Amino acid sequence: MCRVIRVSDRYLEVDGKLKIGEIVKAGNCLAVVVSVNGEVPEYLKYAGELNREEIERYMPDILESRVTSKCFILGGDCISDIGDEVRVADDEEIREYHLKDGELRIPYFYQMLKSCDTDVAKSVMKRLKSIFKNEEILDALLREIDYMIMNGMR
Amino acid sequence: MCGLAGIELKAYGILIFPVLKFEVMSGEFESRLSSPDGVAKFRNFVKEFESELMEKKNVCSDILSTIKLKKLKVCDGRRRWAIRVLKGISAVGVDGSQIQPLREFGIPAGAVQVAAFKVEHGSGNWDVSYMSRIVRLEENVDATRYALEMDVLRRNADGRSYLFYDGSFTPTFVREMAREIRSRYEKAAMDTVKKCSETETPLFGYTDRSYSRDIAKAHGVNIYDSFILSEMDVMSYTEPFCSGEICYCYVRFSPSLPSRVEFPEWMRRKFDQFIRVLCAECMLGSTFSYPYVLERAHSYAAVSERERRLIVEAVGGISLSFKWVSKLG
Repeated sequence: MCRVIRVSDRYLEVDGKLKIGEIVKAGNCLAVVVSVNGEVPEYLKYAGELNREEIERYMPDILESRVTSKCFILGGDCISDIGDEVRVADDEEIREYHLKDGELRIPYFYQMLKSCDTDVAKSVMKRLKSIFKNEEILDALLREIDYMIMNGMR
Repeated sequence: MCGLAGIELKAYGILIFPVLKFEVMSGEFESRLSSPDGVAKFRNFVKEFESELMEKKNVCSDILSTIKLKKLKVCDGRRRWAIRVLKGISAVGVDGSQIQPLREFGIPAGAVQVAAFKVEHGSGNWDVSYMSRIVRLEENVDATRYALEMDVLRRNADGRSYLFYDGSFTPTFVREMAREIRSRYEKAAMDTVKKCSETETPLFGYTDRSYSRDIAKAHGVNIYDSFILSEMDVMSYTEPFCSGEICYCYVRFSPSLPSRVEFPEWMRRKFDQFIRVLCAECMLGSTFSYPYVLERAHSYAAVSERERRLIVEAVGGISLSFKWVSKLG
């Protein structure tokens, strides 16, 4: 189980490995995973005569290295705290989060494009499209992101 | 080594200087350090210091010649030898860390956190468990940490595992403390030694850099034991010295100064066998002079600056008068 270990205005840091581009829920916040960071494995300090199997049998814990995931918070008025459990958001949670008076709203879109990789933004849009299948605006936004990617490749 | 000169003097200066400084300190002088007078005084100071060291060296050699030393034979490379010795042995390292009351953030409490790292060598099974306690502003954080560390050691005294503690069961600094705190330390240590003796659980108190003077006092000199023993060969250890239920010896498994090891009296019976296990744990460590299980326990117990920040953010402060808080602490 992953848990929130740090919170700032726009980001959550989570103890554990999550998939980049995945939309997750922490507290009542939705967030998208933007990066995964692993610490340098400690066995480098001890490596020498022993092979990997011997290290596993005699000094097993040094093979583990701590991994954290950084998540960009989607939206402004949510609350997540240190220690909150983090899990992949289900369709209903994403639907509820993005609907206001029956209309689709993506208030974080501009900020997300400014702050995250285009691949991450595209992944969020694809997930929304899988839930809001008839929303043509999502196709337009996806095309816009593709254009940005192509433009960046020139 | 006892006769330290040049660069070695620098490296061991921390240990030697506190003992010698009052003996060689000369008076002030009214000129710049770089003036001819200043430089001459500096030169004389260093010469006096060196001659004192030479005198001490002779004393050290005399004392060292009266102590029985043994040497471990390590073949096939140190780590490979170590895993042969440790095969099937279960070892537990216990170490703690602490947060002093965070007065600057208005948090009127400190905390201690103790980690017990357990590994079954050969099978690859391992576990780390924690015991923590919040400490009130008026409590002694160090004494609470020590008591909790001893408590965790007792909980692991299963008659099978080798227990390693980073510190002493007869800490010298408590002699200066108030009787109530001193007896808290002593009781915690004695309870642990007794429990390990009753269950025949091997227990080591390992002090990497010891400032004890027990051997020195027995010979009527005022020098650190580790300084006296600094000419011991690498991979050698002294005979055990006992006082009541606790014994100690010194081991030297790397070129740095010897380390002090304390253990319950019953372990004398198989002393050499226990020292072999201790040495093997050190050979697995990253520096070859400190037990691997203690290195790991230390890394799990530590409260990083980041965690400290997280705690401050999560707990939040209460508005306290600094004047009032300072009267409590």
